[in-house]
Amino acid sequence: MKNSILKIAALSFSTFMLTGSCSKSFLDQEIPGRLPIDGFYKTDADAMQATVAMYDFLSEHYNFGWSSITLVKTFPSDESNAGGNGPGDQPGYQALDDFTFDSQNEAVFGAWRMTYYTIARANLVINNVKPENALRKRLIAEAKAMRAYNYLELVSLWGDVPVVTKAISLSDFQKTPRTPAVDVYAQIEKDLNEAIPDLPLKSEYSAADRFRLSKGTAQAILGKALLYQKKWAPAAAQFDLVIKSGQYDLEPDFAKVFSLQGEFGIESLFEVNYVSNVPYDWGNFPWDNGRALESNIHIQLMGPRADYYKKAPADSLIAGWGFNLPKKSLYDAYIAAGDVKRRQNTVMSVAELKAAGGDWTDPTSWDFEGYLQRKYGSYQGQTNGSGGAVAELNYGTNWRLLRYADVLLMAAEAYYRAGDEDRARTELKKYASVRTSAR
Amino acid sequence: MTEDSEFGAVINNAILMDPITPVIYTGTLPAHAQSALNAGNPLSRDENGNYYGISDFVKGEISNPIAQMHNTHQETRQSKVVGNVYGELEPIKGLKLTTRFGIDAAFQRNHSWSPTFWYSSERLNTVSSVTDNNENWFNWQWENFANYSRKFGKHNLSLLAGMSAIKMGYNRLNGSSSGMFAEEDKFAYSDFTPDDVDRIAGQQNYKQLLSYYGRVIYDYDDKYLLNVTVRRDGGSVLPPSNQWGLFPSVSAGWVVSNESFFKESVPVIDYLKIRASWGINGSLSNIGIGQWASVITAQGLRYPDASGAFLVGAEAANIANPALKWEESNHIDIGFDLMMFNNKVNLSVDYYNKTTKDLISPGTAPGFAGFALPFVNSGDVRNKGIEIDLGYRNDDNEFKWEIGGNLATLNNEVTYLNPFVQRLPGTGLGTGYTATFFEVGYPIWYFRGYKTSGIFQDQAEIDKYKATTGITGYNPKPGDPIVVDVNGDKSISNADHTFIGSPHPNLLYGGRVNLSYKGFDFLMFLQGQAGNDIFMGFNRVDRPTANKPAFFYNNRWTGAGSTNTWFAANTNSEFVYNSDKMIFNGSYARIRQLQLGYSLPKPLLTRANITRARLYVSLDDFFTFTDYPGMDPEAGSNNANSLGIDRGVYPIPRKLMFGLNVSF
Repeated sequence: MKNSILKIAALSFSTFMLTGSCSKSFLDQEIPGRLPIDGFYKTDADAMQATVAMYDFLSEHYNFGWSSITLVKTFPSDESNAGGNGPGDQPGYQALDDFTFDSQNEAVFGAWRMTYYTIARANLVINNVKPENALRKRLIAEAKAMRAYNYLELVSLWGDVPVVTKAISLSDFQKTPRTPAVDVYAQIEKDLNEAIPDLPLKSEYSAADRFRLSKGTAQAILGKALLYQKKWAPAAAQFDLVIKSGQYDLEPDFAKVFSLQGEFGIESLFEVNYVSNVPYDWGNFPWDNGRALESNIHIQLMGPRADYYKKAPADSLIAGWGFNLPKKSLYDAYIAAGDVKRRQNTVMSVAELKAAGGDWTDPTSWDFEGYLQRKYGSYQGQTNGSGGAVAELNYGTNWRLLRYADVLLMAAEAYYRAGDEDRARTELKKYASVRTSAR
Repeated sequence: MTEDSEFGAVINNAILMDPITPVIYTGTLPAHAQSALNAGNPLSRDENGNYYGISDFVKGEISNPIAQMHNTHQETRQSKVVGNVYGELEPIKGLKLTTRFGIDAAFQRNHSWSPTFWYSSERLNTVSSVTDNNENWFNWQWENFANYSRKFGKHNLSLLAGMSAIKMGYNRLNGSSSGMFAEEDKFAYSDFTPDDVDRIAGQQNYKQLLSYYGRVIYDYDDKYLLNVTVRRDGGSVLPPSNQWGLFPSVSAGWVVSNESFFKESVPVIDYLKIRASWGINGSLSNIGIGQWASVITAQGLRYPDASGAFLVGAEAANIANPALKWEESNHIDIGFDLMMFNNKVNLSVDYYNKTTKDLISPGTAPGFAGFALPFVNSGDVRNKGIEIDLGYRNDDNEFKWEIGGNLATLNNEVTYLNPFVQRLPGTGLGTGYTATFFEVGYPIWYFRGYKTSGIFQDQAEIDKYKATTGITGYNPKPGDPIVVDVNGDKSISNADHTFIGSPHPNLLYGGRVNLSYKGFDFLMFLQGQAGNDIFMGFNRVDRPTANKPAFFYNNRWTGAGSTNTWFAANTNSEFVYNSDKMIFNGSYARIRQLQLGYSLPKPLLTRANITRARLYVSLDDFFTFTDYPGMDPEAGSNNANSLGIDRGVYPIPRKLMFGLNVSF
């Protein structure tokens, strides 16, 4: 008897289930740790975080899948060889070096994709943050400058590219055409002209905020975009604004220009920031999640290959994976120019390595012409090898995306082409007096 | 300890480690090991205090696998609670109402610690660490259904209708800390490590499944059989507008041998059934929660400011895919079952065709979209073939025997792919190479790479090849593989990558033999497959001194005319390691079991109150027939897009077993 009461109770309970009245709510899905889009981009703090995500993607770009746009541009040049262990090591890099790459080349494809990923995060800020106060106006201006910077990378590498300024849905995949290069440049100019009035000077940012895009940076990007379009006089005018702003100068000690010591220094306009304090070891390094990576693994990539390299006792350049090997012609060019200081901080010969007490055990190693690279060098002092951290994985060295030296040289070109050779020579002299004098 | 990876996994390292380095050093240390020790590195020792061998030849993260095993301290304990209660009511005859509630809960603790060690400058741990992971799963299912069965003369009818609700809960809490006071098990808990380097992680989630279903089973006089099922399933991981899928299936059978005319005219056939079925099944594959949605996340997003302090970032992650829906597999099966000669011979033959539609797989968005597309209904995959099972058994005499075999053909092809992408990339292999792709007209996740056609024997052959093909920018040496310019653009680049193999067998088969005579019995079970390829993926182009299988040396090209199939010594060419040279026939036949038993005579046992006692000796997985020159033809990965790639996994061990079965 008691048993059948239980049965009936259970059955009536199940009838309630069967009615389906609660079926809709039963399938409601909570998404842990996520917020709907319309609940965000409302406050100053939201706007700030959205901008940080955009800067963070820039660092992801330079770490993702070995597709940093810097290396994609460097390997086809005549300054270096791909290197690594052999022709099958990072075939994407080897193909760039050998001019056998195509659109599916991993590094090319990655660079293309990552550039748009940063743009997409800038779009989120521009389209969702309401410019209701000075801070938010500035953050939107930073995003516009970031978007322009990345479109300049795209248009200068690929020409006609899709201009995406809104969030894309699946149905847009097949109906987003390439935009003529002239219109891409127009979008770049528009973004920068809108951003510049709202951006502060570099010195108006606090020391901690100097990773952000400033007025001078935006003007220099605009100048570069105009220069690439052969709009010589307007380009010169933008560079002139940067030069006359009094915000920048050349770094007197060249060793600091591409090393940890000179980061966000007097010469810096725009950098990707990395740190060495996370600390990574071989177990916790986020190989397949560049987004979580806070150190610069490319420095390790470009260090002299450990299999062959014996460090000179007094030198701090430690071993790496041996990519981006300088060509002999690069070294010879420095010698021919008598340019000692820049040479010493850019490229080292095996003869110099041996003279200092080091060694290179295989002169026939892949892509090796007898020279090792020291620009963005794998220096012991720029990484962290203590407390469980592994030195190879913790380089904090920043990529320098835009420097005052670039501004001076671009200004010289713009003025010269615009017919003002005197001013061109003035800017060149400023550069030469600091950089190429035998100091 | 990792497996199935070409980067530092234990079996991979056992293959790649040089044969000169000893497992342990028993005498004085060689100079390189002594200098590593002098530099203050924590070299590992075994239980007897001997240092583990460190290679002076093979660099990088490749390291002594025995030392790796020694330094791995890990245990996982899982407690499970499974059970259900039900109530049943039969209000009228033939109608049964059932409600059933079940739980399936698992509580798991994974505990591990890592001592300090130094295998090389690229594989070391300078601070000992402790990790504890608590994971809990709690699933409940509630089912309510009504079943009505009735016989009307020769008509048999059974009706079923019901519903099921499932809720799956998961939570975990992970903690780790570093700097152990002493490297021993009893210190491997976070209470005994300094507090300032503790880390914690965790999360909790729930997902739900709701189903309604109905079924009709009908037969007439055991001759004509019909089964119709319809289910409607709802999954909470899908977008709200697409949560529901409808999945019907029908099967029909005709037992010809129950027809009176058949019994008389074909007495030799005891049983014949012809059957056909069609149906659609739904699958949610492994979609994660909320992965169709574009929602704001701050997880793992941070960027250092110019003073090095981290700022938190947040963004809308992923491209929303509100069209994400159930993956469907549409299957047709036509066949018959046959028994002949007093049930001595049995034969089943089936034709099957299963098309998986809207396959759920990781999405690929065009680069300019700017976000990842985690899951899409990306394409259709068709599997079709024939299955045959044939057996003969004879129990008439004291010598009883049974012999049987089964055979299935498999034809796998991708028949549709979202048109915005030509082919989906699958798994990466080694440094910078994608080895598998998903593309229309090819088997799912086929191997892609350079196609070669022999070996260049001398410079004259190279010159002739370049002259006739017009290829420029390609500078092979004698002894290199001849790479085919597949796309005919007169250059060799990764645009020439093409289909080089399929991980899927086109034939699967098995065989069994059972013999018994008096107290003796013998059993053999064989299983095999043919037509699948294996990609030998454990070699590393970036580690020139890593060991290779001996045939790389024995079969190598040594000069003009020596061989046209294997290349000259080469550790690093993509034309070798990303080409069909690494593709091997993965066909094999394996005798899964070979067993001989003897049952003690009954009279002897009855006195000891034992009903049965059997002694046996068994060889399990002992004999394998294959041409694959790696360790094991079954070595491929379990990941779908990595199937058939041998990165180095534990081979299936051969087992010799003696046993005694006793029943009272």
